[in-house]
Amino acid sequence: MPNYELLCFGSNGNGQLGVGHDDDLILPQISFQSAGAGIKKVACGGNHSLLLLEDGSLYWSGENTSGQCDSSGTKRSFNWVRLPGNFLDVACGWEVTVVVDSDGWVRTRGRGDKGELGVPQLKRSDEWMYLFQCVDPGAAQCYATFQHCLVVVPEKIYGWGNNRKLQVCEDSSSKIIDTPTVVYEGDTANTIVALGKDFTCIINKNENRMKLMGPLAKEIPKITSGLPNGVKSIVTADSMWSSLHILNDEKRLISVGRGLHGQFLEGSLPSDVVKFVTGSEHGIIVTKKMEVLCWGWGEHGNCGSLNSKETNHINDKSNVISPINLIGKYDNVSKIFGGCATTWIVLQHEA
Amino acid sequence: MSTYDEVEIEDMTFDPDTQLFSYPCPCGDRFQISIDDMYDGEEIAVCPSCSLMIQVIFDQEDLVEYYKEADLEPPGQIAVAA
Repeated sequence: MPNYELLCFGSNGNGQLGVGHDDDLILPQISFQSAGAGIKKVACGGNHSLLLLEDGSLYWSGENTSGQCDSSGTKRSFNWVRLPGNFLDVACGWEVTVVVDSDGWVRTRGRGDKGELGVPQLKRSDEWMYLFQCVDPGAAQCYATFQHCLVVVPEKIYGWGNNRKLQVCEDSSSKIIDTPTVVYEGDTANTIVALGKDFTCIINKNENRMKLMGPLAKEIPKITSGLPNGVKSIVTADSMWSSLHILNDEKRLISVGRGLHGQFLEGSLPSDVVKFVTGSEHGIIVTKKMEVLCWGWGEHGNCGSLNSKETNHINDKSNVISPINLIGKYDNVSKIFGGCATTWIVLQHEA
Repeated sequence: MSTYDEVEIEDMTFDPDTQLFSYPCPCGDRFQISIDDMYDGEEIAVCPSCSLMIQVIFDQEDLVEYYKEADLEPPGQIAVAA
């Protein structure tokens, strides 16, 4: 049976890296090890992290001052703490956590002044709030960013949270959507969702359809011109807080939004890129050779050190605006995740 | 250096106790600026934990309601457009 190792580095002011302290890291350190159950997802809020295993167990680390993680009243934890229950998916907004549990219930907790909890008028809860139950729990996926959340179920997508920039739905009379609202209908199999601070991008390759809501919608012509073969040629897409990045089948990134801190990659990606994700303002890729590279805003150590001989793990703020930078070459990188100036690498080792 | 982002005052959070406007920073901390500094014309909010800054979009007259909320008088007169 394989075993799994979770490495991480970057911003750690509230212990959100789960490494037992609160120093920012510039070199990867082991945060979690699992013998057996694979690591399904790491979801990150402003200062809290949730770790979901394939067996449904869910752990948290970091800030809990708004009850965004558990109900113990503990303000923060520098180590992973198991939450009761069994879960299928997890996502985090700034101070909220969204999950789909194994019974299909979409639940939220934490603090959200802009409707992020999905419960009318409610701004804070240190207990789970049960929003709705999905008919097909295994097909449900949750997404969250800054101040809004999305849940994808077959044929529908629900959204809620801050709608000041029309990032949730086109109804300009609602600045806050504080109850799950259908924001998309149609085929949702094979759907790519990328959420930024004030925009939502929904891509459906089956229907050759892309929906972009929020101020970035004005960039649709630029995106379209980068996709001569249409939406079908999109490999994947992800969002930093202020920019959207679409990877096409020519391994080129089409980037729109704000990119004054190195977020837009100059030149093309390595031609053998196999995975691409983003953190709040940085990008992370894996190549076929199992090299992990980062670029973008790296002030908290989240794009690694530019000194390949660096041995001190503690961030020295030497890499603020990072060019594309090799973090390391590994035997088998199974997943990568990005958080608020944090970078996560899942290694799979065959026993 | 150019600012990380431009944010309208309406999107910021005002704390009447500290008289600070704040807005989340992608590093995990929060950009901050005091209402009196804004009254004096400052429009850059800084993050205590990193070098990023945001430009706050506002007019001086927007501050009136926040001074009221904090139960304070503005340091001087605020001209309110008719």
